[in-house]
Amino acid sequence: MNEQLTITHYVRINRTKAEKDNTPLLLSTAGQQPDDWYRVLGHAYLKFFKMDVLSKWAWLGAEILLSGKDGFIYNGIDKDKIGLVLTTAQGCLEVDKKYLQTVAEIPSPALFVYTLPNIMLGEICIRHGFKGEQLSQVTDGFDGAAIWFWANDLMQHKGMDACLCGYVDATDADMDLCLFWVEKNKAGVALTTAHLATLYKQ
Amino acid sequence: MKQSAYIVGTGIISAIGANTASCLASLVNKTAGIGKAHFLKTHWQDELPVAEVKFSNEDLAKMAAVHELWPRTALLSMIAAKEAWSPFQDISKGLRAGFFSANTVGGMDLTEQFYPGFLKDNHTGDKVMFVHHECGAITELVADALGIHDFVTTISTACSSSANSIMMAAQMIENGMLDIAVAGGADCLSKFTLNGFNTLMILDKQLCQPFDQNRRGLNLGEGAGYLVLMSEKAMHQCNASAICTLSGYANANDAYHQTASSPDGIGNKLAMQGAMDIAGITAKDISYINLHGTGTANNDSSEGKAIEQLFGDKIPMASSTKAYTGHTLGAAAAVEAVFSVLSVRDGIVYPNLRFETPMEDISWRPVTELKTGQDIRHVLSNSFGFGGNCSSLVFSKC
Repeated sequence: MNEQLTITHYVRINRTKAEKDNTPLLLSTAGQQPDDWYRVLGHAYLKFFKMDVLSKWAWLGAEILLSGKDGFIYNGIDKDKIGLVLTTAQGCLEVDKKYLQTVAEIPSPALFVYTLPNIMLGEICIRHGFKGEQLSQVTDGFDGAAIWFWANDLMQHKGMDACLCGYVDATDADMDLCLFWVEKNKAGVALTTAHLATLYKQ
Repeated sequence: MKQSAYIVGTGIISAIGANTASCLASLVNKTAGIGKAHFLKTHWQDELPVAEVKFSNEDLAKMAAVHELWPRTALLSMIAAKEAWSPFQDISKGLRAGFFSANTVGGMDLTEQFYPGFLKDNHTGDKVMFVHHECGAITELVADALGIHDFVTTISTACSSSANSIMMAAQMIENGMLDIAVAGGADCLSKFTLNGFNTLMILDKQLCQPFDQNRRGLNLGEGAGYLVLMSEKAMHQCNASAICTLSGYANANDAYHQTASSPDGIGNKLAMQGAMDIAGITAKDISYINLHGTGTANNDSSEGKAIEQLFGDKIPMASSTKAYTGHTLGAAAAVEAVFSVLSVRDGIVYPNLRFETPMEDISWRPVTELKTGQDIRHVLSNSFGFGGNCSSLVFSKC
């Protein structure tokens, strides 16, 4: 049975803009560093400062995407049925390089544990308690077809009721993030490859 | 109606022996297999003890009757799987057989040999050195050599990998999807894993002391272990007799940290309780716990506390056999599943070697002497992996 899948919320942040659901985020002047964003958002989640730059941006993006007027937008959804699909081009290369620099002296365990791009999934799941199906994939850049394929599959065939999906690419110097919240039978933009690409490009 | 998954055979190779009988003899004789690396070439040769299988790749290839350029994980896998499978290979015609093999290292050992030369000159090197790099390639090589084709899968969930492969095999037999399964896992030592664990600062520079107050970390090991699981129909056709059943199993995640357990072992508790629930037993029914017991400060404390919370003041006999075999990662749960099956079969409990000082944060201590002549009805075997991936299996007398 094919369900109607819709993008009910999205977040788009890069060097020149920051918006959620077609509305500029008030925070858009907060600067480019994730620590600044964290402080402006007023969070108390000290583990944030241990994360590598990829996980930090993924965590922040998820936080902005999932926050609604009355708490988190996933309230009422079974957390076992919330899927997660994140793609990235450069993965965790930034922390890979930093870790490699420590190897000559004392290899850093704190850096080492972030030398896998899929750790960003874990950080989001630990924060929000999601226990559904998850996938992290390295793609050449934003790939709407890949995001559509996996999110659609998880929701049509793998029992997921909602899916956080999108693209997170980050180094210390640059970042590019586009996250989507997809639900079943809701009003909103239909989940298609073209719509994903449009929301990323606009 | 679900049917039972019976254990009818075992196969194993580890630092303490190249088959079931020799590993059991070492367990009984308190002979550990941990020492200086001989075959693994590493910067840490003199500093970090490991539990190596005491054969070169060439010797292992002869024992397995396969090509010597197979990755070492595949060689270990083949030897142990063959021991388990060969009694049934020719008498199981017409039955649906599956091969469930876990590993985490894949063909990394050969890739490590290939890469330095290739890095200098990318026109050098032979692709045979990396074509089996990926974890699934190990399983495929061995499944083909064993002639098992009906269902073949690889599971890689860190240190609980082979518990999950045994669990999946049992579920498929219980649901009538397969008649026979050879299930377990394999892993060889590699620089990659040794350096990774060393970075995490959880390797012991001496021989490990699981569940001791003064424990310093784990020793890595290598090996492979497999169980043969059968439905009643398959046992009848093969004229096989059951050693025990796999009566319970569970996998849970404590979603706490990439490489550490939560302090009070939430995932550990969920896995142990879940496995006992499926087996239809309660804590008081467990005769022996084969601990995950790696010897790291974090694991033994979390596991110890989780056990205390589930079993109260009636802690069953418990020991970690990693003081013998080292931590064999993707093979660990299968190696320990073999030991658990033998515990039920022979009524024995293995000593937790090198235990000296009881831990201050738990109220119980492991068994330190070999126990024989025991009525072992249910063994709980724990395997807790990175990423919080926690699994427990229950083996029960038929």
